[in-house]
Amino acid sequence: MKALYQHVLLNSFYLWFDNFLLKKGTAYKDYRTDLYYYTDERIQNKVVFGSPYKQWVYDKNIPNSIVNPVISGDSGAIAEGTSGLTFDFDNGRVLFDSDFDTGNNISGYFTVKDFNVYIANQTEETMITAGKYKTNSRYGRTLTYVPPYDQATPAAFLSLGATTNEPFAFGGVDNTITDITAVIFAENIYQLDGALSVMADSAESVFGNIPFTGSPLTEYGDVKSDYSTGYDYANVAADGDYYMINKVNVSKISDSSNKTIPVDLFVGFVDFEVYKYRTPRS
Amino acid sequence: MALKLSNKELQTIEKQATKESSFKQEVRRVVQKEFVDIHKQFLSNFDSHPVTIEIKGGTSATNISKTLGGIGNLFTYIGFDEGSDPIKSLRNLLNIYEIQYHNRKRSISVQIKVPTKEEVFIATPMPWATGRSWARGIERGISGLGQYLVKSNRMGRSRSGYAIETQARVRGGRFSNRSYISSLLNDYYKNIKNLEKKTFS
Repeated sequence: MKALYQHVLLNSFYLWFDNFLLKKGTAYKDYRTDLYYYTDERIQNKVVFGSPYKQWVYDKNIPNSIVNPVISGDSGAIAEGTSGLTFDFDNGRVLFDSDFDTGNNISGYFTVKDFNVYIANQTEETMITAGKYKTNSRYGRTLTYVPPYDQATPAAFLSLGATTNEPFAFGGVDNTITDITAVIFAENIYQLDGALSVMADSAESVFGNIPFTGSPLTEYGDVKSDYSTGYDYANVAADGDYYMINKVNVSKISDSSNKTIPVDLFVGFVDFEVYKYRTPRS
Repeated sequence: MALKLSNKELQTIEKQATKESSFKQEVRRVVQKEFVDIHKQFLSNFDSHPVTIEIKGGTSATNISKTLGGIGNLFTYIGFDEGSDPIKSLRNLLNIYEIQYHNRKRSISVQIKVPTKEEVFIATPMPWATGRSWARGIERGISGLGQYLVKSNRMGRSRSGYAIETQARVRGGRFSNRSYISSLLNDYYKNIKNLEKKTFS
């Protein structure tokens, strides 16, 4: 199946949400840590060193973020491409060619998102009641790599809800109204309130339409070579084709209910109502 | 002999008439009567809506709205506290109206204020997340989280205890949206607008 309206909308929304939360909330932090060697059965021809933090920042639009992580080995800094060095921003790790010495002491200096952002692949209730999440490592714990591919918290999970087409103008133009929900998992109430506050302020703003081809990362989690000077959300989303966020409603799970949730996290919801004027029957 | 009046004279009489208290009273009587009929019809539609009846039925209601495929009921699915009456507070809000009369040059215009959809959504919070509206959720979709929280509370604090006993496991199916308060309000607003369009001169 080709990429249809809802696919492209969710892709565009994901990239906007990520950028908006990072930028408006300054929701990121720089880390300088060791990287730990481990094997990944999905990647047979590479040597993997993982950091304790997932989802490094790669968007040049985020001020003062390290979008070109500084990686160092036993003999000093290692430039991207040397020994096949590539970054896996999503999994917070680096990949080297298969002949790279696994005994090397590798460290990195990079920027980590305060909230990982994911497209939800399960229902809201399943996410909250049965979710077994890894937590991005924090102070007071033994630092090691976070396992790849698993979803780590604090995080925001995005999912599409109901969609309706309402007649808007002559010529078959409809207003396509789509509900999008972000379920926010935070480590503390300060963090949750911050995320909800940032997102509440997005009402009556717009975000750009970004086709699937505009997705920034490769299958290895590195920035695509199409972005020769780096990925910058503001450039990618600026072609004049926009969605409008009509309403935003934020809420938290009530205190009494929060105590019955098995995950040791603070949970909130951001419900967006997104408008797009289009000709669905053409 | 027929009395012939010029337009100007007619306008003067109209202008004068709208200032007469008997005319004003008659306008109020007519408007009030017509609006009460509209309002009664609206509340009747609300009261007889399957969603209203089902939620009003509390923990023992059957899923006559078909939103849950006939399994369980909306009251426990949403997660209302046992003994609570979410319909009552909504109906109280829908009962509110205000009719304003404005004297124009040669007529009296009527403006009727009733709750907006936004006000209705604010007044219908989910029991477990007060920023979300269950009334809107009926139309756009509700997660089954409320039901889970009800089930969890069975072990600790109590919420809809009775429903938990009748429903041993959290339902795996999905909620089916259906039209509810927005649709009822749209008809209500349309009838009010028609009444407001009438001129009394």
